Amino acid sequence: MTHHGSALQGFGLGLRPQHYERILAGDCAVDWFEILSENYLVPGGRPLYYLDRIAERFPLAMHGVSLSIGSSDPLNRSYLRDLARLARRVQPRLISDHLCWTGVDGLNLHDLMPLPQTDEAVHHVARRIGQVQDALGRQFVLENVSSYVGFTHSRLAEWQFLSAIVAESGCALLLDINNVYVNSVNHGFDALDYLDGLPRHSVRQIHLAGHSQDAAGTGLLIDTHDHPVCDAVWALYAAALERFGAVPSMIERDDRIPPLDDLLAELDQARDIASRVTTVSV
Amino acid sequence: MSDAPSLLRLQRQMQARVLHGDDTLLVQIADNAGVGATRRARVYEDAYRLRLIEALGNDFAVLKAHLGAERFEALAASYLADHPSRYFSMRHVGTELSAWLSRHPVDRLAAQPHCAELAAFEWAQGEVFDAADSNIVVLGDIAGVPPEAWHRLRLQLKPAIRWLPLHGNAPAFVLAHSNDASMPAMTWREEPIMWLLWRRGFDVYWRALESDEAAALSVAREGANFGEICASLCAWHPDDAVALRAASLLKLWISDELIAALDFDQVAP
Repeated sequence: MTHHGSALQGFGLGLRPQHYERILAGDCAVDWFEILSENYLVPGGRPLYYLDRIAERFPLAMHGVSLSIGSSDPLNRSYLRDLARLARRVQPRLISDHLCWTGVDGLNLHDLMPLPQTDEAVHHVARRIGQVQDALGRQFVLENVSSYVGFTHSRLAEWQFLSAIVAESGCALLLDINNVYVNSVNHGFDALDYLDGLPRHSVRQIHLAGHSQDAAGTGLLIDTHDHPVCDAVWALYAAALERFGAVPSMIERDDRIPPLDDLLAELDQARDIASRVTTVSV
Repeated sequence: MSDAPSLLRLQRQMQARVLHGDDTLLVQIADNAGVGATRRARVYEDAYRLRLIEALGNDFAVLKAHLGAERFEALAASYLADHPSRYFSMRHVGTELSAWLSRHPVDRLAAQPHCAELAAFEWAQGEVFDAADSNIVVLGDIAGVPPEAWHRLRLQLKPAIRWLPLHGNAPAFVLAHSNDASMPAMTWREEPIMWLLWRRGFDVYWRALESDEAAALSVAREGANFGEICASLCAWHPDDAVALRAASLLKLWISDELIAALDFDQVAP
């Protein structure tokens, strides 16, 4: 409750159930936590108990995977109402989801499916973000996703696509540095062009994560969130901070979740880079 | 170029590729790194299959252990083909698995009704785990019920409760799995036993109900007053023993934390 209306600041982690007790023990050097919204869209029990207690002590960001902002289906109003209810409960500093679609014709693939980078998709997504912002009563934050296919009829580079949506909808960006890197490899573009092409003052949050090589040996990178952040992504993070300033940043680990201390050590790396880049910038 | 698909058409093509391996998407995929459209699409096809089968394996861990990973994965893939997710959260993907299993034999080796019951039991555990919170009546609250109000006392059961009639011994499988013990032999009886699952604190408990308790709890759940609950016990107990049995059941339900509220509307003088 006490954090409503303030912006995120500093360095955070994705909140994972494995770490609840340690976090509440009170020796956790984290400025904020990001929750996976869907994990708490439940009637009651253990998840909400811990969420309430952690929300009393730390600022939170709400991060979803089910909005399907790019789908041709109507927005799921019931899901949006649930999201708004959870937001009233934990008073998050920001609410985000992905630039993707998750299904059509009422089905859900439970994956972050890529959109064609077309004017049609820009207008479609921007219109729906407007509806989401009206429903939530706040600016919505949109995250770039990793992708493994592009489409022959895409007319915009990914950063142009994102920028056009931001300009048309007034949303902000959650910049996933790993996803930029993964896509630069998967689709053959310069990741710095991507960073240079984004609207400078729209980036509200940064995700840092690890990825894997496609087991089939194609050279594709897969956004698995089950490894530490790699050197190339750290370098790109530094480049992002040079462009966007001291953006609140976090480590996002979703699989093979290590002990909290390992994630805190990884977060210290982010702090070191930010400190160095900030010093250089000043 | 001239026949660029609409967003809706492209999404339908991509969904059909992921769900059914439909080829129409492939011509729309750009490939500027020599990977090939088929392989690129395959990343999404594999991710869908692996992610949902893993989610089902987590929700039905005992069924998976009972069948073995390979048979469980084949079963899960077959279930998903019949029931592609219509839920916003993966938490609900297994909603229809038990009912589906009761209609579809797993394979010739598996006892189909037993697997369906095991799935139903595991699903009920999950539902109880994060069911809505509620107040808990404690024994001391009974003292607040005026003697003249007992006959109209109604028990409000808490939301974190499920009932399940079982012919087989699914709970013994769950217990063996949680103890890392070998699975017991399957048993099956003609008349089902009613099992109660409920949450106490954050833990899920279960126990078999005696027939009289199942009947009494059932009428209590339907809103019967305490007099009617006592009457439901008359089929099992002589008249002079009914009140004692009802009182001991009420005490048991309260100590198990099944009761959320005691309702006895005040009567105007």
